[in-house]
Amino acid sequence: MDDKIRYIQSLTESLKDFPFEFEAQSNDIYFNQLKALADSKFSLEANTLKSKPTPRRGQLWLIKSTYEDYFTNGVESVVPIIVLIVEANESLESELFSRVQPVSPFTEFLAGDDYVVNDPSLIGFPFLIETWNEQPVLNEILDYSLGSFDIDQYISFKGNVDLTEQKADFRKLEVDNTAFLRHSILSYLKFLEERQTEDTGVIISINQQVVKPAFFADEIKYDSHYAYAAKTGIDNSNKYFELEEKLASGNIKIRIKRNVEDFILSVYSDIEFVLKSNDNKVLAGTKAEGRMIFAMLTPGLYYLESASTKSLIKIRIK
Amino acid sequence: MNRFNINYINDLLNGKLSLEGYNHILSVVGYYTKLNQWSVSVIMPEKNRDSRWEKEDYEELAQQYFEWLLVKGKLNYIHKVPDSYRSYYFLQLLMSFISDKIAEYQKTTGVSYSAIKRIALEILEDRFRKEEREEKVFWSGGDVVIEDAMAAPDLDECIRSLPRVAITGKIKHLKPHVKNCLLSIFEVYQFPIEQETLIKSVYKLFDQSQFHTSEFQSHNSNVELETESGNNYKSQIDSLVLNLSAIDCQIFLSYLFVNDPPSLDLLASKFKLPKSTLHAKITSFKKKIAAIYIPVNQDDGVLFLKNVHDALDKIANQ
Repeated sequence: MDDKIRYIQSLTESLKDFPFEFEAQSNDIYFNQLKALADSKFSLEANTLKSKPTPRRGQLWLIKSTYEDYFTNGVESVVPIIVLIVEANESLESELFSRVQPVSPFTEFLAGDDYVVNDPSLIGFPFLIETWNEQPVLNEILDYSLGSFDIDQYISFKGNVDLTEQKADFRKLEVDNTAFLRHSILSYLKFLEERQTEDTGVIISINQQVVKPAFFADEIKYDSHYAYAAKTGIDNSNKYFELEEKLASGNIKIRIKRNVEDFILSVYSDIEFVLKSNDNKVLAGTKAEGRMIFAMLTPGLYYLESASTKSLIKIRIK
Repeated sequence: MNRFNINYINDLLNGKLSLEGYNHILSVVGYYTKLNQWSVSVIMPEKNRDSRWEKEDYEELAQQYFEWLLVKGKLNYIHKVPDSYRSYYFLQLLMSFISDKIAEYQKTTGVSYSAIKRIALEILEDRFRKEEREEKVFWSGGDVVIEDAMAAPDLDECIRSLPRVAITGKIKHLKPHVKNCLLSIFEVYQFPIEQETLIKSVYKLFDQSQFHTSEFQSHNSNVELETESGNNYKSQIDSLVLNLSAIDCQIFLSYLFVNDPPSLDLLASKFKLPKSTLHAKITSFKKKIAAIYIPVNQDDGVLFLKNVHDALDKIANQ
């Protein structure tokens, strides 16, 4: 592998234990020289608003550094990623996604029919648009827009440049490093395939485990084979998803029932829980017959938190 | 992944770098130096390839890196780089800077044995036949391999007629050349070759002769020399010392016009200048001498340098 590719790859490797303790003194020549080097030459006032407009083709977006996938697993990107939106707001069972091409400051790896934007005033540096690394992402992992540009106007065409072995290695590395993007939608597709019924799925993360609660219809528990064929919310039978677990300080039973348009979550436990939405808002519930009921929940990710036991239960409903 | 703390980078750009921030920047630079096994001679050409990194070498690397950022205009639009991307941006640029330095270093010193060895082993593992005998590794290639070691001719003799690869600034990637060397060797030598002997033979096929010429030697052999008989070199020397300060002249006199030049470390502390600045001054003056005057013969060269010495001495003592 080419040296430069190796160095770039080293940026994504897990931290190794190299003890480096530097203790420069205030009269250190290098310290004072470096300090004077950039002395107030730069304005660091960011003029990019962290706005979140409706995604559109031609926009550059920064991707969230972490997100929770459809199976409630926390996923973290090894590197920050900026993408160019090439197709926006496609829908798959009401979940919005966009097709994006990552951008990279390593313009020297330009090859084939790649595009380069040489104007550093757009996002601070010239960049390569990775046309060969296009992939879908769920809109929910787009963090904020870096502005709308007529990107075609800025592209400097470089003609057809040979794809050397070094450039091919760079592409491979970039495809690997951006798996974080496509994982959002791959996890969603897997969820759709594996959900308990034909139109509804519930995943609960509890006690460090991801569990699919059992599906019940009129108090009868169905295994996944039969459950897959069942539709929820169409006939009049009483259908719900249920999970019972032991926590360190007591038991909990979680029941999720689907209405035509929304869901009702019931929590049976002696432990006090609050329910929070994905954007960290506390949702009001009502107490009834030894349970807490949270009604009119829309599909999404929810957190059941207990202040006393410090346990966190994540619930994905779709 | 070890990252620059963006607060310290911002402090640096604002001219408010603290000692703590400086030590942090050095520790990150040191971390990637160690991780990628960069040779100290890339930064300090007067050091041996295998020399150990000292604290001030890391300081020198950091200094040169930030100077490079400024010279290359990489910070002109730094305010446009998203906050959460900035730390990674600086690391990417560190890799670009080092790759540039290594390419520059290779252009003046040829290629290292360790680089050839690393690449050769990569290729050998990939496509040649490996065999272990008496704790030694042997490699063979091609369809016909003669196993009778007694019949093996002298390897050096066999490869003597093979063409050499001239290392020039145009060569950016060694791998294809190393691969060709291996193929050529196995084409003319159909016996298994012990690993270390094989790699040494590959290394020998790289013609590094152009890197052993004196720095003062003119690169343009077609220049028609002007006879300077009776000339006291006034116009050349005036142009050479134009805008030089007394300190500059003292530096050149202490380093270039003595039999046993002091180390750059000593000189740096004597003149209270960072080694990078000192190194840049000396290199640029040497280049200027080489460009400004081409001696007709050795005596002419000695006489010219004596005149340069006198001119420097005059300014240094003003």
